[in-house]
Amino acid sequence: MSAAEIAAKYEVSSHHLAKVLNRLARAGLLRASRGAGGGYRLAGNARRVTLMDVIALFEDIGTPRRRGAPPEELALDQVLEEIDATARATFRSITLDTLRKLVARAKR
Amino acid sequence: MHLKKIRPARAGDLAQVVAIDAAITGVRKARYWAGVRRRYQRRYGGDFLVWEADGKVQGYIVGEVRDWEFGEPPVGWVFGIGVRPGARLGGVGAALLAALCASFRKRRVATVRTLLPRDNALVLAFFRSQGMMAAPVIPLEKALD
Repeated sequence: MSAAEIAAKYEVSSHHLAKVLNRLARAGLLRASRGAGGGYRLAGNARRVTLMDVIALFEDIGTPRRRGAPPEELALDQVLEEIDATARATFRSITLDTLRKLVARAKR
Repeated sequence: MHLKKIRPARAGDLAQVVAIDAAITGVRKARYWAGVRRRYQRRYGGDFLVWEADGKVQGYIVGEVRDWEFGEPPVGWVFGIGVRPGARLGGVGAALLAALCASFRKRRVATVRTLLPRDNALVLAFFRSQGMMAAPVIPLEKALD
């Protein structure tokens, strides 16, 4: 799909999308081709690339350790880190192929 | 591989099961697996299945139906699964899980669950690829000091 088609389908800014696609391509997850019929296609193995592989290119999921913070904040950090650890494990365990199956199931 | 079949584990399979588990975990647990086979016998409601190809065990799966755990109706549990590293990506794990689920369905069980470490991304990804998602339970623990 071309960047314009993706932007239109998901109603996102084509300018922002271009940056995202660029980063995914530099990471080797997408392959770009120019010209008529060109666009972006998945470069990696959909059964190996996980959601975390994609997310990690754009953000860090984790609660930074705050040395010297008051006990109340450290306790809250512990709770948030529990949530983050579960989130990381979930994203690491869902491949693009599994996500595709989930989409197919949601369509039924 | 030829002449493939899924069948109940026999005493003679244990050495190969131990070897597969050791290849995965790095620990040989012969007595442990003998105990697993005793505990998960069919007459006690368990299933211990192996995938055999060309006379060699390539994988195993162990499970049982647990009644009224967490206040819920009977649920099928996958206690463990292992596939010989050289036999992966060939559908062995998927076939073993499907066979265990078929056994659960025959016993009128509508849900299958399992529990595994958060950092076991490979096996987590496998179960998710087979359609499993997070169960509505949260394991909790604390250190006893």
